[in-house]
Amino acid sequence: MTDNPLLALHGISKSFGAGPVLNDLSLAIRSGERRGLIGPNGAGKTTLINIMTGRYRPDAGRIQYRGQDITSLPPHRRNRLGIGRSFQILSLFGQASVGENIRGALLRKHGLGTTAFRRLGHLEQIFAESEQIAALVGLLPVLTERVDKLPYGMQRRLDIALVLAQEPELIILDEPAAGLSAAETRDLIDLLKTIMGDRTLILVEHDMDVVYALADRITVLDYGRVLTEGTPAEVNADPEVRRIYLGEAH
Amino acid sequence: MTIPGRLGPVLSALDAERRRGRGAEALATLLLLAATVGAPWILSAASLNDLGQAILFGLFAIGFNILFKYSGLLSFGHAAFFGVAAYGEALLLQAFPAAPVPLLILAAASGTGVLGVLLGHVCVRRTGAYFSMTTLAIGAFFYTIAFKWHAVTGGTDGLGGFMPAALVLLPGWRLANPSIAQTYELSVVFLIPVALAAWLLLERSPFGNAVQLVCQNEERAAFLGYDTHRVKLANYGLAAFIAGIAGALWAIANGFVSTDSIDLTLSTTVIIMTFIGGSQWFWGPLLGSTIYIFGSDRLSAFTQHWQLWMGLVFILLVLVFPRGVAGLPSMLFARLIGRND
Amino acid sequence: MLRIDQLAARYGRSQVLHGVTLTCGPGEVVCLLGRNGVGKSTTLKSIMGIAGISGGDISFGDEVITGLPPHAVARRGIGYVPEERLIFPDLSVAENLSMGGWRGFGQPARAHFDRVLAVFPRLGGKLRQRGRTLSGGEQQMLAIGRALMAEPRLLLVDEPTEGLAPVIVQALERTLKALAESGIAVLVVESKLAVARRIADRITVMAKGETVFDGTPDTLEACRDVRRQYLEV
Repeated sequence: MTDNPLLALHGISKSFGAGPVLNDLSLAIRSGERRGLIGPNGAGKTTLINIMTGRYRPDAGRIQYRGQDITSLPPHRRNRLGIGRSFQILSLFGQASVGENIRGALLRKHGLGTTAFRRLGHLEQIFAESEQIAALVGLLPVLTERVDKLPYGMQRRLDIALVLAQEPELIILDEPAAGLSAAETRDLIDLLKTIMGDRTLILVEHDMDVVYALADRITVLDYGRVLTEGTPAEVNADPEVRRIYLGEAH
Repeated sequence: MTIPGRLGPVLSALDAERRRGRGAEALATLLLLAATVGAPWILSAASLNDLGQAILFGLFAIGFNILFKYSGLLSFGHAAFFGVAAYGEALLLQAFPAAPVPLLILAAASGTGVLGVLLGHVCVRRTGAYFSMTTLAIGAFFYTIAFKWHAVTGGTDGLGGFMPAALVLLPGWRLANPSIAQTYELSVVFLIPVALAAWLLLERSPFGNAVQLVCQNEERAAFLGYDTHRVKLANYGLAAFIAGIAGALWAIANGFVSTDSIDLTLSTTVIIMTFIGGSQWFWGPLLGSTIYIFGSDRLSAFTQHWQLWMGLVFILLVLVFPRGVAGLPSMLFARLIGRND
Repeated sequence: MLRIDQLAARYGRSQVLHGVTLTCGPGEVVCLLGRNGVGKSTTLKSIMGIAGISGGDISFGDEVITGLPPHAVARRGIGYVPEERLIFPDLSVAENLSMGGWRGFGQPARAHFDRVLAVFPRLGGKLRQRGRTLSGGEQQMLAIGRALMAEPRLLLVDEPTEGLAPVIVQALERTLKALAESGIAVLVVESKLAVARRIADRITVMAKGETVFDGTPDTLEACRDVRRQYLEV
């Protein structure tokens, strides 16, 4: 266990009736780390993310962020502490435009999310910033297009853009490459490498190219517990990991 | 949240605002406002009375639509807020006949708004049918109080005789025996700024933006840091407040408040008005209330079954023009360029 | 044998396809490749009768099946695994599988269950779990297993490897090849060229609503322009 981890999970358990999905799981992420989270389907990765971000409450265990107990904090409070997450299944404001989606994220970041006393159209700074972010993920040409009419690859990029727009300290990405073509995946890797800076990243992915490109440490989950943890090289060579997850290739 | 025909245009109003010049819109708005304020010089007494009612119920319907269009919540009990404010205003006038009327109106409406926040705390946790059923129950609850609490509300006899000999508009400015035109101007002077402020709030401010985001995807909004419960609650309180302004003015304009200011019929009438005009436009309910009030007035001159005809019109509109009268231009335009909506 | 000839089709409001020609015969795995949005999913939907066909022909065996409703297409032995999986969220895994093998009476034979569970052993431990509680990847496995329950002669699969762990992807690739070997025609929509290279007997490439290339993986390997222009590789 490291001292002063950014995010620490102690003894997390969670079940949904049929049996435990997470079983007395403990995990610590240091500030600035890039942690990959891999494991077979059903190992509990998304449930773990949901517990980290407050979508579910654990049945047992504690979560600490920068030393503060956040176990019972709701998602919006965790976001305000600096935790941002993307979604495995796209979750966007479909009937709004790309620009509006990004502005929604930005307004909240600047503390203007629900104010009654400003004219939206006069917040030039927000508009400029949203254009910058759209440009960063290559969505500037479709800034005024309605999101649910965009192709999937662009929607995925917007999903990431919403997280990045708020400049969180801890970025949690849940299968960001899902459904992307090979070229789109490469662009995603480049984008993430560029913007990560010294932020902390937790990445759940099945595409091992993405994981190896971005992670400096990998945690392998199986049946709701941590199977092993190590550098990409160590994990790749681990025979048990190969047996339950990686298979022959990679 | 899958009510068809409720979706707005593809381009956001905001992007459109930035692109379009503000000139034409502002001019049109000013002309309309001038016409509204100057109506007593143009219209007959009967038409003026109708117009006054149309604007008053239009604001009430806008209050309802604040919940429907922006939060996606269909309330079957919005008359509760209208009625509570109407009775409240009547009682306030009885108790403080010398107090400035604007203050009393704000007091009644604010009390209604607070009531809305308290009730909303229970209501807005659920959506869809659950929400609607809860509002139905709340409406019935307040109707029953009005009906039974004879000592305060007068029951089915209603509450009258609360109007002071002279209305105090401002300290030093009294209005005795107001004519229809004067009552009309008083209402309009109150209703229009409130409506415009509500429009600014919901269509041009971050608050309104947040309400719509939470409606579209509550989960994502929460994960972006929005306190979604509070946002929904604030909108519910606002909708109650707006209905309260209309209700308070109704007490003054009518001089009499009874249970048909708080019953289910009123709640559903306001829904009908909204859909006739078109719920996807902020001002649609006002258009709908104008059509409804003028229409029913003209119809009732022809037949005592005017409600039947009104109902048929409503059904026709919902089937053929789901976006209401306000949606006609865009429907016709789409037909013209050969698209099927 | 599936034959598609100059198929034109719409999905929703847009004309998505305007010239798709391909074949897929018993015993072969054909991969349909192309960028996101070119109409690969719409092609499968057209076969299943879910998209609006405006031109061209689809035949299966010696029967023309263009425009038949989905249940009629399914009864002719064509199984479909949509990209969205669309499992029944409130039914258990076992019930989902049963639905796949439903013939109108009784339960599907035990052998069908065994075959599916041999491919996806993880499902065996979750037979009584409700569909909505499965993870994304497990739902994918269930969707494919469900289609297999009906013992189709032609299997249409839309992006089967998406979201699956590498070791499962490898098992799935083996399964698809084995299914073809047992006589089933397998048409797979894939976006990953690597997967197609490993499993396809033939590859058909699509661009902007029409087919632009048809050949073996080796032929595609040799055609660098095709790869660069249509597959971004």
